[in-house]
Amino acid sequence: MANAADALKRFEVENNIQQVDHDSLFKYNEVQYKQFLDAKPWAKDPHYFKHVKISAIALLKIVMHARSGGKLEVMGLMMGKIEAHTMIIMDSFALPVEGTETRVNAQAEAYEYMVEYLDLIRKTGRLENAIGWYHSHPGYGCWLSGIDVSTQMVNQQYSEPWLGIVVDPTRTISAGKVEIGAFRTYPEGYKPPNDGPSEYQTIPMSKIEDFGVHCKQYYPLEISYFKSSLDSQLLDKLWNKYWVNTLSSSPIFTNRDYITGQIGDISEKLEQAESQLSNSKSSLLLGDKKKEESQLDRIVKDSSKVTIEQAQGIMSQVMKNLVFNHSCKPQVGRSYFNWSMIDIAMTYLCYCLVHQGFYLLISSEGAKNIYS
Amino acid sequence: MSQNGNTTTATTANNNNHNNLVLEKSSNTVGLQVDLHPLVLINISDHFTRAKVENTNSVPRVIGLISGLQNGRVIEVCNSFELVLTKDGTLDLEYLKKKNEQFKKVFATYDILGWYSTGSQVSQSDLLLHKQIMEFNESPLYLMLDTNAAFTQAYKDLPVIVYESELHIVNDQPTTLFVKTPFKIQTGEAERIGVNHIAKVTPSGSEGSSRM
Repeated sequence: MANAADALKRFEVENNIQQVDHDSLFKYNEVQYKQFLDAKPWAKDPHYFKHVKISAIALLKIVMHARSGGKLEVMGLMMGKIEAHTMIIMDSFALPVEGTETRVNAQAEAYEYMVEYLDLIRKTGRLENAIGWYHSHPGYGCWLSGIDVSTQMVNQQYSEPWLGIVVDPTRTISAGKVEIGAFRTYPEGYKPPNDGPSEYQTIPMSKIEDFGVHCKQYYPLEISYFKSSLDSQLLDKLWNKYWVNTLSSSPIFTNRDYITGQIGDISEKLEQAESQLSNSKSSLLLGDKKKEESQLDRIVKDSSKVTIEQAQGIMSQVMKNLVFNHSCKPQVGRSYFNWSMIDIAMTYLCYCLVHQGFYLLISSEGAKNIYS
Repeated sequence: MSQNGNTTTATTANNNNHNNLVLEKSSNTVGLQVDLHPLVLINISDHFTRAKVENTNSVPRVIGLISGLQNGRVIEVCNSFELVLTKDGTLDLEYLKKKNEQFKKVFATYDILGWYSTGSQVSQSDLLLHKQIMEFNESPLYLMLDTNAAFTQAYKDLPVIVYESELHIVNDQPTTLFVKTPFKIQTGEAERIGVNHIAKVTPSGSEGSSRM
């Protein structure tokens, strides 16, 4: 415990982190907001907003709402305020709209609900404005589709400052961490200055075209999170009651369909790559070679991700089995026995992991060699 | 917000006979099973924090509605929203009904289960609010979050008490009493990951990562 406190202190010193009264972030400053609205710094610089701060409650509500939709897309709005280069999401609320790509028709209904909601929430003394929308992409990653881009563009024209957040509840479960992205679109006709490679993510076959056509029309914002001092205290105490849930959960069981789908997607992509490669080989288009290689590279990345998530799931199951289901002989040094078993399990699993990784590497390398 | 805070703190001041209102253990042997989602706690915490920064000179008391699923004696508290008091310290029922209507549009399966407030002691005025809630649920729960205890390091447990109301005969008078009900924490998969995610965020760390 003392070590952790020390480590935190060292981290804070090394990173020049200042202890501030962070609860003051929860105070709404209307004058400041008005000033921003009048100055409109984002109108001059399409890349003005670079950061997003999301409150604990907003994140929790978004993630849970997204998950409650299952395989359907759900959507909602976010309320908050702005600071220099930063959008701050204080709270969020769900909209009574769901379904894939039908959002354009649903806009009117959603709008009516939004007006009612914002009207009513003023009574509780909340002054923040709606500053963005969120929606879910169950199982296909956090990016903006063509429809999303146009929705976001319209909103950035008429209700600035406006932010778009996408959350993937399915991948959140399978990766065990919140998969979320925050985006703003560029004005029409704007060419982004530097074309740095964005972080790689798996996009399913059926969506690749939609992703590729529009992916240069928007940029991601860096997301950080904040919570109140009371949140911290409650979360600490919550953990005492709570760790059993974490221990007893398993991503392998809760996300079976998604994993199967991922494997199916990889095999489709491999088939496509294969047919493309054989075509390019016959026509000997050398210029295309580099592109084809990166296509295979991407497939390797996708498959290793699935493998790693699977292996992690299996590993935790094996560990739990060893720790909880093993009947120990009380006289024979009990802890020693358990730990040696865990060692064996670890070794075995590492072996499996490496083995699978190699297999994937070899097969894709092999494929590349064959066609080059 | 400040207005609500003031009226409610005024009413909690004149409470010193809370023991007459609370029963430690129910005489009823078949107890309720109450499952509480962390979202509700974080929601109340958020509500309180906002009231606190708006209202710096006194510790405010916040009040809201809890909703979720009820199946016989099994109750799952899934979500909550804020309530507003009128000037005379009673619930603004018009607001409550409207808000609940909106809530129903997005969470169709959730019913009103009861209400929450922050504080450490049940007061006579709580009973009046409780009776107002009975209009929406004939046997409402009352969840109390002790924000002071939350900051006490020695207090390891969650500073939350869930009360159920029971009608008892005290001195030949039918009296409504609050009875403590055990509860457990229940989470969905996404909620668990979300809670773990925010639990890792250090308040100062988030400030640090936003540096330019």
